[in-house]
Amino acid sequence: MISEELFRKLDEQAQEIPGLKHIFLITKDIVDYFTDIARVTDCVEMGGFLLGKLWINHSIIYAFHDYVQVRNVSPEPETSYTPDPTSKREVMRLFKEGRYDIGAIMHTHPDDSAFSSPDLVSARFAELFDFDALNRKFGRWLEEMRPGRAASPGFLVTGGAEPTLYCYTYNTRFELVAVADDHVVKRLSGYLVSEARSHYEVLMREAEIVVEKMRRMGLIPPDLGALHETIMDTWFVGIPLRELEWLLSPEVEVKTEGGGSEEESRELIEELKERMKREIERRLRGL
Amino acid sequence: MYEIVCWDSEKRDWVVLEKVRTKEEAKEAVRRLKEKCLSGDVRFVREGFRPLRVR
Repeated sequence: MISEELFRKLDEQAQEIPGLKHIFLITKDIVDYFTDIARVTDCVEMGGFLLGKLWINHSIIYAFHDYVQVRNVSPEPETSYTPDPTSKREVMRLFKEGRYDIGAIMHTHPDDSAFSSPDLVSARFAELFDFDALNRKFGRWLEEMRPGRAASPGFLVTGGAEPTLYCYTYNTRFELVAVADDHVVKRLSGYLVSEARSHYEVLMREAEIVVEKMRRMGLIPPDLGALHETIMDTWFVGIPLRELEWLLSPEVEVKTEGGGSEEESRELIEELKERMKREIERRLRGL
Repeated sequence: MYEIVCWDSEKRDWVVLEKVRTKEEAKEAVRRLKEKCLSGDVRFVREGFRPLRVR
């Protein structure tokens, strides 16, 4: 259960970060479900839709608290994930009826590979919400959620040697928040071009090959210019799942009351990372 | 088919160490090749894909 108090706290804290308007919140249950899928699958990609509610004040919080697994209908499920369009229509009906406000595509990779350029494009144009239903619910014209303006996050869980949760979006700086009971882990997004230069270069270099491959598969490929633009303006977060699991475990006490300085928060995070590293080393020695 | 890749800190790129057929073989190869990789960062990916180093 995600409390109103948590939304207010996240909103307050986000106001201290210049330019931050979008917060994507995901529950640990969802991460666990897709982590299990990623770990056990060999050679294929799988996935589904995340479903949630919007909470709007200074920030727009996309709170994903539910999910539905959806069949991969890609002609090459070994290298890409395309959710079944029938399931997408059913989910769109749920938005229209107001049962959920917002959705996002979550998919898995069986290995350590990070998001591909088709993954980025697929998230950018997903538009999993019903604008009219949102306007009715909030009782006003939600300019910030207008199609083409709303942030459109994509999620990926990898199942390789270093399983990782990724969240990415086009042209939108965001904060990713993972929640389990009273525990919260937050990460500010980084710009792909500067934070993961080598991955950015790989995606740009292979853009033409990707377009050609999609054409061969009988899919409608994005325009090469749009693909380049998408890659260039990607914001992302990647959290190794071992780190996430440890930070969200009940044994770890993270003090969030009192809102310490940014310097103190950084020191606390570094200390936690160091403790986690020591714990992993201790367990490895015990094997 | 999976590629076992090692992060080369000098080249700032992934280098392919070996190719294997299944995920089980890939996991085993990662364990086996960990010490041969200077950075210690060994992963496995499908051909044509690459991991991302998260800071």
